Amino acid sequence: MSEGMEEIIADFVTEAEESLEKIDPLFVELEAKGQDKDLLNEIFRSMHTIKGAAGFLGFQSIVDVAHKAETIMKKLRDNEIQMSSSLISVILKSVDMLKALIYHIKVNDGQEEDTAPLLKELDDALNKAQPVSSVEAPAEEKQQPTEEKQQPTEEKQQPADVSPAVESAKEVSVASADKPSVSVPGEDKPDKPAVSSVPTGPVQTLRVDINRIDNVMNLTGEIVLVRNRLLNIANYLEEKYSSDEQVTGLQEAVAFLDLVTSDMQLAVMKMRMQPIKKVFSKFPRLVRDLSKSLGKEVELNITGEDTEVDRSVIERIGDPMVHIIRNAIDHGLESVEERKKKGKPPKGRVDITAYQQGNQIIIEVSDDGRGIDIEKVKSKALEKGLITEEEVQRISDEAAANLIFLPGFSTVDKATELSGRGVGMDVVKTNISRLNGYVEIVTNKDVGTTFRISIPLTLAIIHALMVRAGGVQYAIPLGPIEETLKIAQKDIDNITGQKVLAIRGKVYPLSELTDILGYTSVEHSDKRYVLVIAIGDKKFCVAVDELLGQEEVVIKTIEGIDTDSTGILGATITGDGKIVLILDPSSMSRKVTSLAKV
Amino acid sequence: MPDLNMKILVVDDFSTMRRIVKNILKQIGYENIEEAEDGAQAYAKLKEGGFGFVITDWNMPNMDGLEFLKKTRSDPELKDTPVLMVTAEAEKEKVVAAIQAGVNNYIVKPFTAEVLKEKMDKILEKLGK
Repeated sequence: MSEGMEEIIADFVTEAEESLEKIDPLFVELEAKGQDKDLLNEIFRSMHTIKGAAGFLGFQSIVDVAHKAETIMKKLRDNEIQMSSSLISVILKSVDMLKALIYHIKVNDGQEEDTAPLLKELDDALNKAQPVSSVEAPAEEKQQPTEEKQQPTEEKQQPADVSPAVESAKEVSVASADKPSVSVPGEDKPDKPAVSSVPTGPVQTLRVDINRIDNVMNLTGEIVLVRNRLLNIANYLEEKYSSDEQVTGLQEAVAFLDLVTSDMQLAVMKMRMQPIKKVFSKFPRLVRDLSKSLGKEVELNITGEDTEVDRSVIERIGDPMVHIIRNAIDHGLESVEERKKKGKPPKGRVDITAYQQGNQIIIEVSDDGRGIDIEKVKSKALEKGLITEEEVQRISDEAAANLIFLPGFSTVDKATELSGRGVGMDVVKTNISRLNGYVEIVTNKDVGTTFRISIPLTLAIIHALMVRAGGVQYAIPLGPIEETLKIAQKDIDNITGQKVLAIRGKVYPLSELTDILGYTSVEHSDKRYVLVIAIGDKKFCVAVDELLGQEEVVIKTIEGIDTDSTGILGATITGDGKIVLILDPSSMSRKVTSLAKV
Repeated sequence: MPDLNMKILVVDDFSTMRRIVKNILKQIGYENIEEAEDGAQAYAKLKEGGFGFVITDWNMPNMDGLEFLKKTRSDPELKDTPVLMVTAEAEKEKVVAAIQAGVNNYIVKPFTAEVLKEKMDKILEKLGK
């Protein structure tokens, strides 16, 4: 066992953490469904497996805790004892203890947990548990002696049968070796439908250090840049020496490289994708614990948990979501009495949904609570000096709801232990913009609030539109750009100081990109190109001097630059070797709306 | 002396356990080892042929060890493949069910290389290999 012991322990930690995470939500389901055999069996199996491996690795305290908890699970599963919420609580405690014990192994801090009180609690719980029925169990036991008598005969039968089967197995392998190319696919096909009722085919997996995958990802990014550059050079050469055979050959080779690079990018991207279930699976337990401690009744509905997102999203979306969910339950949902008074069902609802929309992943958290009190938000923001008296009058309800994302904002006067811990919703926003995403709020009084998070499918490589404004080239992510238009200065209207553009009968605010970026006194030619950008429900126009084309760009983050205040996502190297800044459409949206206010 | 090149299938849903068992098998001297995550996968693998021994866990999703055992035993091609069942603790009623279903032997975890070797040798010896 000495060989690779550390690696095995590291594997054990990862795997055990995963299975404990998986069973957390099952307990919540169990409380709702009652003594569900499948659920009990699944929890039992996880505990059992962890215990087994821990035994080999010499983690005795894990074995002890898992064993006692498992015994209770087994008796519940086999209908020997009655389920009660105190039993569930003590098993949940065991799960937490196992997590703590595994954590100590993970960080190797040499600390030990005192498991003795918990072990005693588990024993007591089992002793106090009510038996379900006293009839079934003994009946089963009676059968056993007869079964045991049968075993010698069974065993004797086996040796005699062995050799023919082994021979026939050999024959099969020889037979298929004789005609390899024909028989193998033929044998495969009838096999598959037979197995397909069971979801697991022989899927092979390999655990790979994430740094290696990230490395491949970075190198792929570099190749994309080189490919872009080669494409440019090849196009140039083709224009200049179109009759040269070598140039045609180069064009072909580059076209193939283009194709392969795109496929490789996709493949690497998929390698990093994981179902968002990994994050969502923590929420049933969170909601259960929150609703218990707040005395509210909450029904949680989760959909789209198989939606796949980038690994870094999995890592970073958890905290902001926890914050939003806490807010929804703490502030959004009313107490049972209040809901009854309003004629709502006493049980509050929280819906968590994930789905893919084009190149975006959308995650929504909705509650059917009281909605955000816009007036209260406004007065609070005014009180904290976040907005001026004048702005309070003019601000739209939607913009007012977004004030909760401002640093230093918290609507609850007394910070509760749950949601208001000094850090507020601004952290949610910062975390999400780090993922190049954005949050929107839709809120209706007494109907509820929805937080909609949009995150790009991949973080490292984006399709961007290259534009020129004020003599400088910029890249703008293509995702939120709905269309581009060519207009003349006279098409732009002016309503109370705000430039607007009418498109097919609808009026949208328009800003010059140079104004958004803070250029002063730029002369614009009469011919304008307009990007129509949609961020959530907001639509606006940005005018530029020139559209240079579409390019796949690799985002390189610039150290020391804050996307929120500068509106710059990062930089990239273009096909012709220039460094170009990538602009953030969601900060543009904020700038356009704030310019509109002035 | 058992054939150390014999192809062995290790079945467990927990990859750490598979690694541990593989490690122990390597300590004994077996090198030709393949893995499966559950009974269904294991059965599909066995059908590919060439396996001389199966070490399987009991508790697994999709198809557990006992079901897997019953399935191989009812398959004329596989019914004589030696199967060693790994159980957590000697639970009498479980062992009985496994023996009824035709398991060759069982082993209680955690086990050492010595115990595993002894059990395997015994089975192979009985089968006249």
